[in-house]
Amino acid sequence: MLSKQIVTVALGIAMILSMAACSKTQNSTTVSSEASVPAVSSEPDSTTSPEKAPEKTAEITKPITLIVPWNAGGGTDIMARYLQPIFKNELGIDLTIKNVEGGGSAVGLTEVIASKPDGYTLGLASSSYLALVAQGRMDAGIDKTTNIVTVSEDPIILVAKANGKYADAKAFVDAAKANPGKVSIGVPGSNNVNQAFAALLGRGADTEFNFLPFDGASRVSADIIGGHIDAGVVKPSEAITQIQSGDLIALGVFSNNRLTLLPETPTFAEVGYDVFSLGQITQMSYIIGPAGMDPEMQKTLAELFQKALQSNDFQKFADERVFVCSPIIGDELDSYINDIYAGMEKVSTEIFS
Amino acid sequence: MDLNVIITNAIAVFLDPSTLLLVIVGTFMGLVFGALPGLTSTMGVAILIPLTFTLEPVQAIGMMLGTYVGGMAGGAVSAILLNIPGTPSAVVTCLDGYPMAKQGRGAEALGWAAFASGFGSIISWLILVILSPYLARLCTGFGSPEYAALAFFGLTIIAAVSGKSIIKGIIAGLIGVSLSFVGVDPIWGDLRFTFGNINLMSGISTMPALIGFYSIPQILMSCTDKNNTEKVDIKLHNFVPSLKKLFQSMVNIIRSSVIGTIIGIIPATGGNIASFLAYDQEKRFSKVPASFGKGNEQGVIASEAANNGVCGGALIPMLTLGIPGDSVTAILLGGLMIHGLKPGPALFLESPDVVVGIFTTLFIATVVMVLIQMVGIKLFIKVLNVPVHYLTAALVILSLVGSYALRNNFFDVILTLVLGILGYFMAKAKFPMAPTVLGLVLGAMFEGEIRRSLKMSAGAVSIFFTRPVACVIILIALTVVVTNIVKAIRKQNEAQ
Repeated sequence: MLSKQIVTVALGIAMILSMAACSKTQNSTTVSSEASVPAVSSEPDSTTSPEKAPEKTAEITKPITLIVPWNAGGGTDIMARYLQPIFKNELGIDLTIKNVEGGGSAVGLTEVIASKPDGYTLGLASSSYLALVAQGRMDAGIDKTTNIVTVSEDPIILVAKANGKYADAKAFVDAAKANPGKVSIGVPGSNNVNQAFAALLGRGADTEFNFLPFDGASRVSADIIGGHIDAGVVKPSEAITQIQSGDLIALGVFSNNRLTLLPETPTFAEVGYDVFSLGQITQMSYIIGPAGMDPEMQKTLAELFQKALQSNDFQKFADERVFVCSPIIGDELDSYINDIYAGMEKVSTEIFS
Repeated sequence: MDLNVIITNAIAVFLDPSTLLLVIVGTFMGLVFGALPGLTSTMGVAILIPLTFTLEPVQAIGMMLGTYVGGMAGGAVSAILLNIPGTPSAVVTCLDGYPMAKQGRGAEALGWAAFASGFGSIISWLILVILSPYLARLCTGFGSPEYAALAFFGLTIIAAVSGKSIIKGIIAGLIGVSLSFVGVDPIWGDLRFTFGNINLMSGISTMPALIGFYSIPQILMSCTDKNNTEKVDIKLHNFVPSLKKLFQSMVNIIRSSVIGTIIGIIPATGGNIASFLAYDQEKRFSKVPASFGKGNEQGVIASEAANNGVCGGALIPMLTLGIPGDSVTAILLGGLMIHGLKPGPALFLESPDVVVGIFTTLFIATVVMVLIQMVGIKLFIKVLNVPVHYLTAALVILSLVGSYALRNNFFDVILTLVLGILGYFMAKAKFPMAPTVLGLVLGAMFEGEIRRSLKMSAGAVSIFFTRPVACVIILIALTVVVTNIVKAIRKQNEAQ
């Protein structure tokens, strides 16, 4: 009896482990069978010779897996899943979404970077990834990725309670100047773009704030409405409901331009504070693949995603979810990412250290 | 909203067969997800997101609500029959549900769980429908000092869920608190105890801990213990609670449901905190507190009424302010926004059909949930007849696949196994598991909130005593602790 149970348990464990092992071997066999696909480098074993398959155009011959490094059902996940029907119906390509959450996107993106650079495994990275790399929290450099296309840009806004203590950005900063370190700003997460902007506002205005990190933006909004904290730095999509219902007001935008959805809210440059003193940082998300991808494949993917992102369907979705979607590809994208990364590096040494 | 509008819209939902079918399917799916350790209602609702792109808003939300309500209730099935909570909310249900099953009262426990879940849902539903506009303020009444006080109160409950030895309970609780230290520091953002592993950056989440501390020890025990073949005599006749008993339990049901609803309203708290609090209250007011943990059906009722009470409560901040009350409503909120619906007071004025649709489908889902469970009891109870070695093999597969499925990450399987070995030795030494889960959940909350509060007040402890709500919660917790100590000392003196 006793030994029987041990055997069944051992068999169960063996089954699970073999399943895991199978899925790995399966991956490698499918990769080698793809050698005939034009987009893939001709040698299945070499990961670093993208020039070896100089075909004119790359073809997409099987489903593309897009790894979303956040939880299923979250804002980023919904955005990625919204692309699925567009890819299917308008481009005839299957897009598979795989959620691999953990470590503030580090876990999922590590999986992307470690995958075959054949263009069929991509990831949805964001400024959080650049911040993680800049702070040395992830064993990866920005040269480990192939940048495909930008998906969204979320200009961070400073929000406070409507009809509360602060009528506008100037009043808010003046209050902080009168009492340095006393005025509190809620930050969803910590050591991220949100906190960087709040700190940069303090620098630009020559004052200090009291930063309070929270797990997520909903607690920040709730605590501002409840009068427990003075303000918060959030994405527009995270506060638009409360702004439109008259519970919160947007004091200022951390961007060079006003937002179409909040035309009344000035940029901080307009109010007179420079929040870009360490470079052009911004909250954005973009599609990446592993480094060493065939340039033709990269171009094909970039154009496909660009087409999907510029579709009326997705643009309407972007308006509803309050983010900016103007896809950037190619060299322009690389320099855009490098600029943000350089900014995040400076932020991590000068502000978060 | 006009009463006419409400009634016509509600009837429209009832008369639409496709909506009804979707709600039933959603509820069934939730029950399955809730009952299986490793699958949670959050995952169930997340899976439905892509479906909602094509459905009508009320159909989509109705199906997701079904999964939510079903998932909350389904956890009780595996908790009672196997002593393995299917969801974090069912941890407390194990305490009395499993002893009941061992006494041959498994069907009775399942019946009470189904009824209590149903009542919990309905009472929170009533509060949602009638009072939600007035309770919007309550959602934002809690700041960090109040959360810290609530977590402190929660941690004092360890005594109530420790079983025989309070010392062992406290040690188990501290093991849970220690596990909550892993991950990113909540205030400074530094990495703690991650050993350079990115998989540990977001800390040890509840589900691997739940599988590790409940499933794995169970599996190992069945391999090493020789005397596990004892057959339980299953009584099936009394699984529908009698009216008399239901009436006697009404105070408990209402109190626990209201506790659940309030905890649901407060953002960022969930079913497991609610069920711990409700269980503790019921035990405190009981005439026979010593019978708790040994198969008192009131323990099952308190836990299940409270965790389902959370459902209606958590919808209040979501609908009135657009702020989710827990992880499932966060996804529901996303589902609403896909359809271009902006929650908030405007939703009630601009789309009364959607609001009434949400209310109606939540009600339908609750009724369906109770019916499926009552019909299913005769089937579920058969699990107890399955020979241990088959059951164990199935549990191994479920546990490991479940822990992988949580985040599609093989690391979680290893983490689960490591915690499982720790759990096995704890179980061998007769340590209770519930305090560990409580410590893990509340430890993280307590640390984050107390440090944030102190940062708000620039280090002044007075912030906890100058704010009335926080102060009252702390005073209640302290009174409870002191009276418990006094009682224990008196008992000791009498014994001498």
